Amino acid sequence: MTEHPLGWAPKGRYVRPQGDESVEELKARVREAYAKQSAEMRARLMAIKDRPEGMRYFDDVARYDGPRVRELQEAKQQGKKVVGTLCVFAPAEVVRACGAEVVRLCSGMHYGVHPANELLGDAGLCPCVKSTLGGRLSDADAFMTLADIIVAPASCDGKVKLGEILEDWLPVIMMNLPRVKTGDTTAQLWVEEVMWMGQQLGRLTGTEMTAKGLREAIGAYNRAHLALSRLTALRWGDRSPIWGRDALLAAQMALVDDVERWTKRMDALCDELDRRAAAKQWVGTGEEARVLLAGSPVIWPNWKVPNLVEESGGLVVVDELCTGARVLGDPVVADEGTLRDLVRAVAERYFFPCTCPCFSPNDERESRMLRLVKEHRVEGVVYHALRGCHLGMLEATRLELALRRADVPMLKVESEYDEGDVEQIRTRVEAFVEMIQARREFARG
Amino acid sequence: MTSRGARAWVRRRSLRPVTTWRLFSLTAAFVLLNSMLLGVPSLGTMGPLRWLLLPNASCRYIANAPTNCWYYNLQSSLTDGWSDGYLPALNFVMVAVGLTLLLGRGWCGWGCPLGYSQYLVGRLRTRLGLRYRELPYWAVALMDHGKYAIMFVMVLLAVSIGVPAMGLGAWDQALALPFCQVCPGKPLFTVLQLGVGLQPLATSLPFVAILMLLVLLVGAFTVRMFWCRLCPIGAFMALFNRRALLWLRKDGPKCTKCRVCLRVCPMDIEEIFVEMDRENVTAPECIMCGRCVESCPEAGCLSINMLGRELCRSRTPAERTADRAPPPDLQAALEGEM
Repeated sequence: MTEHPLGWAPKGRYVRPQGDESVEELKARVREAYAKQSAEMRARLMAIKDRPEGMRYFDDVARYDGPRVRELQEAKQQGKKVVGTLCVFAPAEVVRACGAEVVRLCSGMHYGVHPANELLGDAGLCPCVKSTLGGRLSDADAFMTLADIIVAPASCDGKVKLGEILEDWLPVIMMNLPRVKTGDTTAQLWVEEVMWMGQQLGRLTGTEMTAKGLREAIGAYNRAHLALSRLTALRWGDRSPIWGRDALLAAQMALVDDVERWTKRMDALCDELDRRAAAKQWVGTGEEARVLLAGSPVIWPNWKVPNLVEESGGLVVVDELCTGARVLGDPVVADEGTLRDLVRAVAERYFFPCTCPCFSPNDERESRMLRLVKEHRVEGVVYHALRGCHLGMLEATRLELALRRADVPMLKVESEYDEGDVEQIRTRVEAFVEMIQARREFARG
Repeated sequence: MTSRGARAWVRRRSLRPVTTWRLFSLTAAFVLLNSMLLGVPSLGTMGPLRWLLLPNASCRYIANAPTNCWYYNLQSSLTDGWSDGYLPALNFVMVAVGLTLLLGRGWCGWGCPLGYSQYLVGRLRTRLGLRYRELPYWAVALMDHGKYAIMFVMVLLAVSIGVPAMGLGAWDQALALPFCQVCPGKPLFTVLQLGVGLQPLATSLPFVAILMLLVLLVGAFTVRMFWCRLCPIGAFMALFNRRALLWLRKDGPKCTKCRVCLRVCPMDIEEIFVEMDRENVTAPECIMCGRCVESCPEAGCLSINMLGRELCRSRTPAERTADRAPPPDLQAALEGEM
């Protein structure tokens, strides 16, 4: 066996003896469940009346075992490396500059939670972490099985340990994310981490990160940012030409798709939406409550909350999620052209404007949320917290109070990946939407 | 330059509109007031121009200088001593205060020949693909505060020479115009004028002047706007910068805290990034170069204002490229030209 370029060897701390038939059977069952959940959720979105044609492409990317998975398999056969990331902090530009494909591995599959529960025995842990791990344990997550290496920024407790555990299966680059944003050394430390990650990836792929390559990658992602900002602008108006859950799906697919193709498709979608807006072809009745979706990551296919909001008479006009608007929310603005300058620009773009609740101080989140409320004329905020996402829950109260001062109600929804609490949440969301509509009636007089 | 090249140049420059205008202004100020390379000696004898006491107008040591830098005037009147009650000096101070209240340290960013030379040296560095030296926090703070000490010492020296009781009369020749002796402008212009065959006032340069020229050039090559951090004239203007009519405005709620303004700032000013409540973020060190305004990716978050009018404002990448077809080099848009 040849040595791994990064000197990695499987640790074997968690791996049980192989060849157990019952294990194989369990894996097959998880895979089946994954395919089923993904297909069901796709069918549910595709059943939306009068959906833009341009969404079909994003549906395909979201398919379990879809064309993107095959594309990555082929790329791997040609010697390309696939880099999986566990968090929004992993700079995709750097990965691209190292000549590798980048996919986000965070999983929204409900069934993956069970194998991870078996292994860790922690029922209180956040389902996003558990599902991602479960996807690896059961070989069910398509992207996870393709990944050659994982980049794991140490953002929250769950992600730190997830990265550590996953080292049993594949090499992991842990990135030491400073969680206190102030201080003179914070930026330096993070820049060093990103630089180091780039060097490690360069050793793995054999393509060293150069200023030219990184500049091109920055350009590609900045164009993607432009395309996404078009979609955001289309949702500013009184009426929207697209449902929020569709917009979220389209935006989220940037996490796993080839960024240049994604940009083209997003532009095409926006062109179509422009035409629809010109023809006054809006979604909904115009009486929907305008909702901002915030909180813990909403990851495909866990479309529970956005679905509930929009099925209960709401319209998600904007989101503040690290799996939605935040992914391409800010452009990289580089000042000078050396590699280190570019890495610094990328690193700071991923670090400073990010409003992840893992940070302190995190006043930006409050001000950004209030700004979104103003810009998109949001009437209510639905704050989605995954059960076990302590950071998300801890910030909810503060945001609720800040929003209350701005006279915007907030609904805090704590939920797991399973479907058990759907009807209960539906009741609460419906009441919330009715309350907003009543407030609107009252304001009209 | 082909028309295609010209178009590309215009496109690149339009992505840095403030810097482009600033370059025009700096070049004009350099050619008209400070270099006299065009050879307009007749201007030099015109009386009224003597009262054009711009902070960055001609160096005293320039041949055919139309006017003089006001700091020279201040020093020379202080050195004259108590005989006329320091009234001329007060005069110069009032003029300087007035000018500073008008444009603040915009004089530094938009007219100073030393700033211009530092900008050009910095461009040479980026062309060579070299990095600037990132200063640690304490070094920035040291220079920010040190420049006031330099200003104080320089004024004190000039006053002391004029007071017979100080006994510095014997040193008059060596110490006269104390700041002019260490100002890197003197050797810079002397060398430039000698180079084009003019006869500046100081044809032979003392060791100190040559050393200061090297400090300016080497400093500006490694550290962004090195001399601006130490300049005592800048220190004087810094006292009034925040109250000037030309000011930098930040719309706090629009800020996403992306730190771009801090990274592009050649003076390493943290205030623009940190401040979220106060509108006026014109820090004493701000030379109004507008790099933060043209780099900020949030619409209208930063703007340069004067007398209630917005002169320029920050734009989103979409706005920056809105007047063009889908941009082939958006890359350049957001990275700046290399």
